[in-house]
Amino acid sequence: MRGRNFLAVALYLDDQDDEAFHRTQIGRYYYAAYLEARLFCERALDFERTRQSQEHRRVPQLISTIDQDRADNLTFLRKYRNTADYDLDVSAETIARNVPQAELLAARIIARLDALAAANPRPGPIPTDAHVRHTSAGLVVAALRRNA
Amino acid sequence: MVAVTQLIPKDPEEQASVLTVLREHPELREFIARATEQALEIFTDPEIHLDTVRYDEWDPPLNLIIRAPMPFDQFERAFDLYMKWLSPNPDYDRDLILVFPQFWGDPKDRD
Repeated sequence: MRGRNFLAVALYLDDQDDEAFHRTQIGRYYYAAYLEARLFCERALDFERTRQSQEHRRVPQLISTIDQDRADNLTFLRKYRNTADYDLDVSAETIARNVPQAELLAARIIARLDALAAANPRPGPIPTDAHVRHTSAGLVVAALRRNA
Repeated sequence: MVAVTQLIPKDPEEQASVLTVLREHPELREFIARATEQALEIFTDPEIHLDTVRYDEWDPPLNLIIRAPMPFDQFERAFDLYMKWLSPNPDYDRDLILVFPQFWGDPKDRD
């Protein structure tokens, strides 16, 4: 299981024009990108997990050492996710507006991490299950195309 | 230069909270003014305000929220342009402030 597999869940929910589904989509987009970023940090940047919530701060900090723009994107995505999951007073309209940007940010982050992993800056590539790579890359491309 | 006071929320509690942060970190005012000016140049009719919403203790004490009501493809281009200015900006202290350009819907899809 890879974080990017959550992209499929988010896209599956796309047909449902309902606030709860939109909120869930945003959460899945965040975790798709965050878990991919965390894995990248573990494999390429010697990040050691603490299993504490501070990891959500540390991962973008580490990503910022190689790509500040994508680190900022991950921070934005976390803010969208927190709003979607905790602020039930935020209107359904606002949440619906946040979905396309969350999708775009997640797709961009994962695409960048894939490019960095492919460049293989450190010995030993990030191990990726072939099936996961095939299906998830397709989803990333689809998401990018939909937002092009 | 944009007056930071224009960005302070009307809600008295939130207003007090924002003013406290600005008093503790007066150096933020100039950056906020510049980030706002840049947003006004790049986004179409953005609604910009400050708030102090935090979800975790390590979140920065202040947020500059830029809500841009634009068609998504236009927003995307504006967002990229804004990030080119924001991300490498040496005055952007992420421990103190989050600048958050937020898609706010296509005006023609609203009402």
